[in-house]
Amino acid sequence: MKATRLITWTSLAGIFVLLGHHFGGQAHIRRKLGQKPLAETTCLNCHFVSVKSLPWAQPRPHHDSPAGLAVSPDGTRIWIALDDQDQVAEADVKAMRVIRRAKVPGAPYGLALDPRGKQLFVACKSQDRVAVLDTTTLTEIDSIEVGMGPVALAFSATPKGARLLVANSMSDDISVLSVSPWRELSRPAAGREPFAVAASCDGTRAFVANRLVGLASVKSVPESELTQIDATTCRVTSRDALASAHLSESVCSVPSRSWVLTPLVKVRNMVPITQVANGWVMSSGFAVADRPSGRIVQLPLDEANDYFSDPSGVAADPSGHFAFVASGGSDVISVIDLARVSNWLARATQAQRDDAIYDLSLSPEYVVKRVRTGRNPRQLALTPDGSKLFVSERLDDSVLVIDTGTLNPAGRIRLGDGGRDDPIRLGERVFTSSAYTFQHQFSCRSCHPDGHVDGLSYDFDGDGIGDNLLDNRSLQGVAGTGPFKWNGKNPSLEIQCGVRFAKVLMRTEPFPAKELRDLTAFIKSLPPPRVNRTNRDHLSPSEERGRAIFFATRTPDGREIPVSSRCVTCHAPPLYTVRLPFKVGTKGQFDTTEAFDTPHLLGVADTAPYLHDGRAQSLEEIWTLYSTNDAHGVTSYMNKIQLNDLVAFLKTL
Amino acid sequence: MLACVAFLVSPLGCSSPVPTDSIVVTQIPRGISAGPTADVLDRSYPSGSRIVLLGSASDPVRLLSQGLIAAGEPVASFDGKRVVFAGKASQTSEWQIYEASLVGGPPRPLTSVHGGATDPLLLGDGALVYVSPVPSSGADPVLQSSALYLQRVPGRSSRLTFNTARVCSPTILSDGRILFVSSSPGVSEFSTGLYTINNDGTEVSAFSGHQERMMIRRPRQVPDGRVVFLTSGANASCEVRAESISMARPFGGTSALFPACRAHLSSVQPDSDGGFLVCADREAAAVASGVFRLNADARSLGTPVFLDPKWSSIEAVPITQSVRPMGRLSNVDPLHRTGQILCLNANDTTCSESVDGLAPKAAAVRVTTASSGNIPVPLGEVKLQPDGSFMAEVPADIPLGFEALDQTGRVLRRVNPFIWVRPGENRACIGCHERPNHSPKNLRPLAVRVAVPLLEPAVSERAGKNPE
Amino acid sequence: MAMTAILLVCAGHFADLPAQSPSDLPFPLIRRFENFGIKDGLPTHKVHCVLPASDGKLWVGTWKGLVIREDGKFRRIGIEDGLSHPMVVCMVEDPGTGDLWIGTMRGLNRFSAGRMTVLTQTSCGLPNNVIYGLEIMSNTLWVATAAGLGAMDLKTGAWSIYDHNNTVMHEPWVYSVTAAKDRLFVGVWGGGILEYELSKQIFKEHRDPDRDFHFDLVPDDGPVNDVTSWVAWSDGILWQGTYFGMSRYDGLRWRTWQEKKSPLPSNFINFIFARGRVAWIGTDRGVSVTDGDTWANYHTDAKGATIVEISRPHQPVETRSLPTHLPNDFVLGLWANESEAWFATSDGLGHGFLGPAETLPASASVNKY
Repeated sequence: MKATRLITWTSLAGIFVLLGHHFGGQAHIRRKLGQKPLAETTCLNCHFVSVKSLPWAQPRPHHDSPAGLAVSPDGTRIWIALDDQDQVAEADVKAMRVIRRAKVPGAPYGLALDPRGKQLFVACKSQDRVAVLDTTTLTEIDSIEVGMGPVALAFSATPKGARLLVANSMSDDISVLSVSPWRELSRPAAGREPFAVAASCDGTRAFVANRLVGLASVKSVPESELTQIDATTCRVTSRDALASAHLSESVCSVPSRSWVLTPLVKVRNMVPITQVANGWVMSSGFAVADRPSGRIVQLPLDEANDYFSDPSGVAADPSGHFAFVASGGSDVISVIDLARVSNWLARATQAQRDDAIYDLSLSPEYVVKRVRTGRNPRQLALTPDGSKLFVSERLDDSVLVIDTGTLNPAGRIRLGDGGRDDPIRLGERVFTSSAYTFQHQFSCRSCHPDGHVDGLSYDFDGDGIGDNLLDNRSLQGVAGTGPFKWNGKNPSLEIQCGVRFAKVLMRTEPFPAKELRDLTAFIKSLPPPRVNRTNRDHLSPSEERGRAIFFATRTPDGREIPVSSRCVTCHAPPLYTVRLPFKVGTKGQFDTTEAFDTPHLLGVADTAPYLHDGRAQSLEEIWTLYSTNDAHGVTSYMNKIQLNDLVAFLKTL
Repeated sequence: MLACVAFLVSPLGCSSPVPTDSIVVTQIPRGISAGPTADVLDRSYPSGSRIVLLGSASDPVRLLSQGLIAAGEPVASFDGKRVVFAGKASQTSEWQIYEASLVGGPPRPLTSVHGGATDPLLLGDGALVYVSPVPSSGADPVLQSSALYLQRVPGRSSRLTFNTARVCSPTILSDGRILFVSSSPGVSEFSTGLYTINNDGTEVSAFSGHQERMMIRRPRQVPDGRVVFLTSGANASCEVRAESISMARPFGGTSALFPACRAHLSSVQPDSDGGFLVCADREAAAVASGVFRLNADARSLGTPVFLDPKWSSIEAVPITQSVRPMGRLSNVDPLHRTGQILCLNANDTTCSESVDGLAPKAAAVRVTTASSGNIPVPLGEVKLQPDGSFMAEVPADIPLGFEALDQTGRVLRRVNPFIWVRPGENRACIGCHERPNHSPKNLRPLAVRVAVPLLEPAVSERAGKNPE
Repeated sequence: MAMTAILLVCAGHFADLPAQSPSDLPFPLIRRFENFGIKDGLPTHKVHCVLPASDGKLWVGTWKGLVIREDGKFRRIGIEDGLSHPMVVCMVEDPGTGDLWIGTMRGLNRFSAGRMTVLTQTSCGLPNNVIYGLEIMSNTLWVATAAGLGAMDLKTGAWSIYDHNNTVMHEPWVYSVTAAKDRLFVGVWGGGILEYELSKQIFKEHRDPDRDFHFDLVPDDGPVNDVTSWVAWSDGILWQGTYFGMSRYDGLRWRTWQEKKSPLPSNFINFIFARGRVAWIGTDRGVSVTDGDTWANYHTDAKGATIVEISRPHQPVETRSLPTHLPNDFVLGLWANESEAWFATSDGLGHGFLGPAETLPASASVNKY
């Protein structure tokens, strides 16, 4: 059936191509584009495009991928969020097996337990809610709406009552919930993409790790944020900057010390990528934030000739002796002796502390062991007595148990089969593994967390060393939108991820053919980012007006908008791109071309910054600052309300 | 196991399976002293030295260097099916690299280069790397220039290193880089250091600190995260020690590999079980050298796994299927004659020449190359940007040195011509005499915003550019 | 100035009249001032706005940046710290998060736990960079700008703009916005007042019925003037300040005041702060406090001393002198509670301490009106 359909479509496409070429097709293209196309154009650029046929719109296998973990107060039970299955699993720690599962709709991702272990709080990231499960029956007993994309939560006991702090990754804020009565007290802003939250040991404060750097000029040093909240007053009390650091996916307080730890990727996007050796593109580390002093020191996890990429989970044992950092790209848990860290910090001068993260030979001072894990270790949890460390091996569908006394694996809780027969799952393994890059420095995920953007522009040296920034584009929803690269020179993902990627970034050899097939299958399976709350089902009046502007052929006063300058000419639905390069007046001083690939607009609200070099921090800036002479669509007639309407519509796509 | 005395050499030309856990050994006949030698290999591997495979009880010693009058420096392929080594076909011929199948058959010459070839190395993709020319035995070998060459197709070699130093003992690291020994620039004449390049000769970098007045030989990466090697003084009579460097902290100094074990070592090779395959003898020349398996905490050599009283075993290589090192696509563009260099801050330096401990600030950098007499020759000068950065386009494949100049043109710091760029290579550094194993700060260098000057050698220098 | 002269002339004549107790006033009086200027750490003498935050810190908007007073010390936050423009015009605290929103002559700023975030008309849906007033209501930040009223949803960041294109507002020059339970009042320069009912999303216009700039031909018939400089609402009462007098609206009835015809010290009103049923009015001739019937006007007399004139309905004006000075009679912003008041003036920051004020010496009672 599929084959028949494929043959039919291919035949039709072929006929149209031939007809196009032989019967004035080029004239038709020029008329429809309002200009001569700058690249090879066929009927398929504008016709026969169906979202429904794209890989990300197809059903795909679901896996028992462990996300958040929560351990019972007596250490005998562990709850495991299975976001891909809409389930929470409960496992017996001694038997190391799952004993029951509960259905929890909404991609349950983060977990937190009340101190008595009676209630399990579940952050459901795709339904923008927190569910409450009775741990006795493992059934959902309550739910509350929070910000968008909740992924982590922490329980905090304050003098004014119990609080639950929720990191809302998509709305960039924190829901502070009162547990009794069950209501949202406040929703202060976090940094960009808050991804983890942890309560202080005394329960009065909470700390939030944010995954992306804040939006700022691409010419400035990027900063992410470690947010501290007074859980009693619901107020943010500090926003500590982590300079040139991002992708913090976890945070923990260190018992018996005044420290907060968060892993980080130290990024060097402003330095021309002439090499990757010596962490020239990025390196991995963790931040030690000393609360009383407000001092933050970034320390490396990497070694001079080996890297421990994509640091994700972090946990500190109750004695404050060890901290554990999961390196999702390297399949390793780094064991950090915190006393050694303390000693080093005490010995070091301020200059040495400032310099520490750049010193790739420093980590042997405090990393005492590297424990191998299964694929893609992400989240960590300790038993209350600290005797066992649980590691979610996300792409093996298992939870590793490490004996913290011996620092050796003690067993594994199997959740599923790992998805070894699913090319998408196998591709995700390739995507998240740093085994393919020089000295395991980074993975695809290091720049594309969850296949999305890291909000940065990088200076590639492909056309010589120069001030050539290129905005990092999302891979979510990218299927069917080729060609790729900002200059549109890579016709397929297979080519994009092949030799060029190996030469420019991996600095090794290309992915083996099978791995490349799996990798592209995974990338094509990524749907566009969700940008609206799940319960939205219609456009607002402003969005409707914006839609009319987007599809307008005339200005409000009746003047015709040239075909070449209409939004819809280049950004035609359903993908909102005709997949051709156009000149939009954004050529920079060192750019070698003035025509840039037309990006698709699905989920565009969540892909800032914009334009080929990331110069526009917001959609508005595309037209308020960087569109001269209506080169990027006729917009000069718009007043501010109309521009807001247009942006409002774009944010619904 | 193989702790036997072997007298029999299996018939030549047969095709026999390779036993698991076998070892390839370089043997030199005992009681034969090297006669007049033309080069250093003649001295190390006198006539009669040979490469053998130690196998099963029924086939204890299989000659792999059949037809050669001398052979040594065996290196096994990662699939455990073949071995390459340096060999000499006759007294008058030069040393070349040969390949032999472990299942049998005569060796096949892989090179035929003027000046001879030595120190073979196999890359992960099977390509051959070797050193040429073979240093003559007359002058101090440390002072004799040599280079690494890459050969993917027999008879077609390309040069990988482009300075005037003595380069030797290449080995492959798991990350795909070639680790090699080189005499170090600007330090005492007997100092050597470990350096790395990519498999296309790009990104030449110091791997560790140099060893003052010491020769380094036979570096090998160990799976436990170390590089082990042999060191000795410049004289042949000096004691040979096995030492190690941590890959995690290669500039953190060396450690004795077998601190509790006294022995005279001639080779150390990582074994498949995490230990080491060692060729050594207990009492120098009094008895034959044997092959031993040692752990790092060994207190003595113990029982040899192989000992033949008629032969001294001076090199031993385990034959196993091992993890293939990472490969790498070349960034060299043969259409280019130049490469670009970018320094983020020439004033970021570990040199401290002033009273206050801070190095004086440079205002410009002079790029130099080496003349035939090893004297730095200026290629041109580049002004530093306010942030200390500079860029220049420089000729590819010649040695490059740098001199930091103050406002008056006085030389503040100097790096003698030692590094190079390959055609089309973009090469960057953090500073001049930068701190090793440091990554750069995330700052945009001002130099990338200005026109890049092309620095070219004078015509007279260009004429003598190619060291080949 | 004219009123001061009358006071001086009459002071001796009424000196023997018994002074009434100020404690019968519907609001406390200022007993003394404590003033701050450049010598105390302010970056400039020009202070535009002042706001004590819920965490105990005092925020001061000046001509040369934002100033925070912590532990008795002033610290400046300028453009080098991320502020979009040094001229800070208005501020509001988000009661839910404690974030401070700052309006400047070029852009809107959010100051949250030490971090400044800038929003401009080019980077977001903000109508215009010139911001005169801010208000927070129903999780929405309302922004009075030189090109309309902006509304930003504090949860989604989405903007709406209300101006002459889509409302009854006939001028887009919005000077002030104030929340009133279920509605907003928007002060429009030249456009009177707009009343916006949130539930119905309907704007209703309140205009000066006589449309005369200088005269309130029929008092109490509506807003005193369309040139609205400020609006403030509290406890069911809307106060309108204009450059031609002041109005009060209780939802049914308007009252208007102009100088010379009422105790209002000046028609030129910069700012009104409403608390309970009392308005604190910043004018070019000092500060006035009133519930609409009783007035206390603080200003500088001819000798340079600060006096307070207390006007009760149908009673002579009572004058008392204060031992300390208001920094300057040109008052651009203020804030008050039951015990203290802060004054942003063109020559420094004033801090008034409030109390029953029996200790203030009575100097005169004058029947002015």
